Amino acid sequence: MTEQTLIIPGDDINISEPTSHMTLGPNILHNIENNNLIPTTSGFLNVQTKKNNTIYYIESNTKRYIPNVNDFVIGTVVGTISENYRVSLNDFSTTVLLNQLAFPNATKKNRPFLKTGDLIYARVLRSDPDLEVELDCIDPTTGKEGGFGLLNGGLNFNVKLAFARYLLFNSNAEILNKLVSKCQFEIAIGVNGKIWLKTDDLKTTIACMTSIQQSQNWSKSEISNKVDAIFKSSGL
Amino acid sequence: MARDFDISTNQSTFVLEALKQNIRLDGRKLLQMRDLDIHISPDEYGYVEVSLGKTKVACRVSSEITKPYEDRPFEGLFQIKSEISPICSPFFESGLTSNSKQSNDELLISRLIEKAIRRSGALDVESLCIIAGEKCWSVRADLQFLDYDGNFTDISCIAVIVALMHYRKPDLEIDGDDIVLFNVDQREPTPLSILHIPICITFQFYNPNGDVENVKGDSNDELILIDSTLLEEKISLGSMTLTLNKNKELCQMIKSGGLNIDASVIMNCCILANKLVDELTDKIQTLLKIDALSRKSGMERELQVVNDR
Repeated sequence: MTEQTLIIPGDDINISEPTSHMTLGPNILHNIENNNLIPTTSGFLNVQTKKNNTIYYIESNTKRYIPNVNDFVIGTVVGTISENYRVSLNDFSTTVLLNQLAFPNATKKNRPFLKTGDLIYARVLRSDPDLEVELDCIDPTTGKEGGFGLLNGGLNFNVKLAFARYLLFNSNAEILNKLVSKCQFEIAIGVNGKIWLKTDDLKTTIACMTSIQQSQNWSKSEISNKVDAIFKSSGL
Repeated sequence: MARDFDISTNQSTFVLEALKQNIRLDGRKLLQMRDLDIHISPDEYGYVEVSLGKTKVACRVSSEITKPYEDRPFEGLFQIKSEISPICSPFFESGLTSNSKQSNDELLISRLIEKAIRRSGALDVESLCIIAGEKCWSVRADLQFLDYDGNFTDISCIAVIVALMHYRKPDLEIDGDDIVLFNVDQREPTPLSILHIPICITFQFYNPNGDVENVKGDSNDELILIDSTLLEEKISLGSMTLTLNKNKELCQMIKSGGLNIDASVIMNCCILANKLVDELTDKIQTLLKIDALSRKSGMERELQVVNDR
């Protein structure tokens, strides 16, 4: 169940049926003194009910990515500092750290060698306001690779932050379902607004990239026809 | 702080691989420009907004009466002001220091336009003289960069020249020592005297085998493309700007460093640029003609005031 209400900062969030189990997501502050909920940004209020737990969060689009723990991100390696790689998640913002040992089965003698300009898929391990943000490339549940690590070949491009979250958290996003019916591809979505895509063929990659980038501004009913048109115009 | 665009190896290799097969990320061919969109302000003279894909600039031309330089009493003044602010991209910083990369980029662009338009004599400065040594027009073109997706030089040159061609300065009459300026309603303002229309075309050069190959190797199979986007501009090995007009006159050629290029390749670029300049000039002239037709003459404007009452 999902319902959407437009919220601006300072509004009262009315919770119709307060349940004992509630989870507050991003952009909602809990005032302990009077037990009020205060929105900290403008956007749409999302309410999701799962079993006996209700999740509240505010969804809005921003331009600059601010790291949060457990976010899946795509970064570019921009340098090495002692035992760490410097990774950039955003153009023109502070870089974050990726320890050279933060890879599955990495030891001091046997560790992956990344070059400047390499693309990696990683998870945000720590993001304290006072410390440098750190990434790792290990799946915390299994301790194995889990899809993280170096992204070879392919192409990366930028999308809006809200759109990247939509693609990552909706397993049946229309645009991806449509692309699956058109071609085979590998994809990695970072919530920092970056998407990496790899197919066997150069033209297909470009067609997929154009479809994903342009579908940000399409309505759901248009997607099928417009993707067909893009693939047709690039001769596929 | 990383103060630059982070371009991954994946991106640069992909783009190069695509260029080898004559494909660009936005679906163009190598020697194809993006759609040029010129918006001429419908209710004033001398303001245009030009966009080329996502790149966008605005230009406003204004004029005032001043005293000419002592050593050039028969010439009016003409200056082009351009300032790139972070509004178009965080890549450009405000608050410039002498050695920052931003100020270098900005300097390069403003000098290029200066050379292309001012020093090629596109605007007849002698026609700006009112009373020799006493009074002259000072024309000023202000460039604003609004959005950055590569190829600032070509687009800003087009913006300045279109704004100049569109601008009308108020008509005046010399009565002894007095100058009488006329309002737009009183007398039709006069256009500036433009002698030719210079247009810049920037070529980017790439060599998939590395830049050393062009110095030592026999087969110089470099790739050439025009109207580069931001990503293409960032990974190019060298660029060259040609300024031409419709009369097949080469006003300037700038190639500051970068990949070594054969003279024959440069000749081919000139021929190609010439074709493009013809197309662009025609497009600009038809646009200005349409705009001129849509404007009401002074008489019509006066009649309309009566009608409105």
